[in-house]
Amino acid sequence: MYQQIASNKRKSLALLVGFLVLYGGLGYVLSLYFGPAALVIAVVIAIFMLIINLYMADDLIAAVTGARRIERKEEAPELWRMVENLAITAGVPMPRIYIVPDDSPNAFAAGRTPKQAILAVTTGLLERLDEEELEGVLAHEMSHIRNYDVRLMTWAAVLAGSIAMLAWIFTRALFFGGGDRDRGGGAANIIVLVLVLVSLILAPIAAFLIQVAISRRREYVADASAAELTRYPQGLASALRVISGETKPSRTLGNPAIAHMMIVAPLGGRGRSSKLFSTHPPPEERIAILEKLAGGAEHRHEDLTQGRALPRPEEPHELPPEEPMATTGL
Amino acid sequence: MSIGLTVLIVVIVLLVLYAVVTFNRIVRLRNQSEEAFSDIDVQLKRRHDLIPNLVETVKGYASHERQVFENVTAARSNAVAAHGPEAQAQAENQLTGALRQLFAVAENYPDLKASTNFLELQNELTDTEDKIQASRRFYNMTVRDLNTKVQQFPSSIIAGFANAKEREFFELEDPTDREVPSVTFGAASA
Repeated sequence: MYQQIASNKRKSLALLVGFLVLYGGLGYVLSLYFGPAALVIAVVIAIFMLIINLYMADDLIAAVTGARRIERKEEAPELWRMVENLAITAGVPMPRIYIVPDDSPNAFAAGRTPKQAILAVTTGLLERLDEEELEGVLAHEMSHIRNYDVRLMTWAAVLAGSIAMLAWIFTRALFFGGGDRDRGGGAANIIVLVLVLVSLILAPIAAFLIQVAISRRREYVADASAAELTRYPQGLASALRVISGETKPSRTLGNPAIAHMMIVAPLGGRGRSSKLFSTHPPPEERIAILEKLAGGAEHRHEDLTQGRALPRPEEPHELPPEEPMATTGL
Repeated sequence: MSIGLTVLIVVIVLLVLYAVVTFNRIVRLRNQSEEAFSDIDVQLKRRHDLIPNLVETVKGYASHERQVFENVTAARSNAVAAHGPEAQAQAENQLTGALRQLFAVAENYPDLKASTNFLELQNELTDTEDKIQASRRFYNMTVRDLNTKVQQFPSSIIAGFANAKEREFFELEDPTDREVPSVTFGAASA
């Protein structure tokens, strides 16, 4: 399991390097046509977007989703304790907990370092999952925090975003004059122009593909580390089954700015979008991998009575009553 | 510059880079495992602090169960005094066994079982035992990573420079085996 995490880390790094090369390449091609100013603009855009995303993202996300902060243990003791214990197991400080009032079952983590991380779950998730499933999901999110995935994903999203923005700006510049037209040489100039046009079209697509590839990779890593944290891959597998079985498209969570952070793709989109364009690996595949990790065992490998004076009590789930079908819609 | 020389320089640079990165990683793991061990201590102390209160509460309802109280109190002082993963784990196992007896006795006193004070202490204890479990897991994961580096070639050479040694896992075996004199610790945790 440790090796799997390490190899995943290497692949993420390779993907990120690919990104930087792409960004630099686009900047270079543009500078051929528009002069060095283009490179400067590219760098400024990237830095600006990075600062916004890294320093404001967690608060923004909480605001966008309408999440409510759990300040004290008493407000949600079970959830609190689970997060507390997982934080100890992962060796990170306890993240701030938020509950998002949303009926679609989902969860996400945010914050650029483990110190200022937040972990949010929807009310729909709390209602549908049992203790072991919830623990699996929380461990998955905790792994994103521990592995600095949020920061990596923010970099990826920002780079993809700034490439798209760069392309947009220079496409406009191309059509509305501008550019270094005094340069002579017809044929050479036309080749450069074609090169610029092609890269303006292809770069954003390539950037997007890299971004979602990184994202999918990180999801697998987080699944593997979650299994390591809980020693119980089946919990997360079963949770994924429940969640993917009834993901209702949620508009708040489907906001493209945060969609990539969810535990499952919030807009569903199974069947319609191909694997290549999705930020999340297909749940069936994740479940299959988790079950392989579990080695076909049907219960915990670990003896839960180990080192305990008291058997783990069967805790009653304090859940709000099931909503009637009429109000949940279809 | 000949190609051979260039290749040689590149190889040397890569080797040095590897050595530096591995050295730092081993030092980090060593410090992390020390810190993780003191985190377990914090949780164990929390458990020890709960016990006098628990004993007093049970005494209030079942004052004549002397033997059980003495066992728990003795096991507690042993656990407080123990030092190092193996000794501490063994002492904790004794304590867990004694506590189980205490709770088995408590089963016979419905008034005690219904008292809010007792229930609260029970919850506290469960919570603490969860946290011991969690911090133990983090410690064992760190130790496993450290031990892998110390044992594997070539990082074992660098571990020698960093003066890093293998550490013991912190395993809590089932206390029913505690009569067996040689409890095996150090079995790799998954």
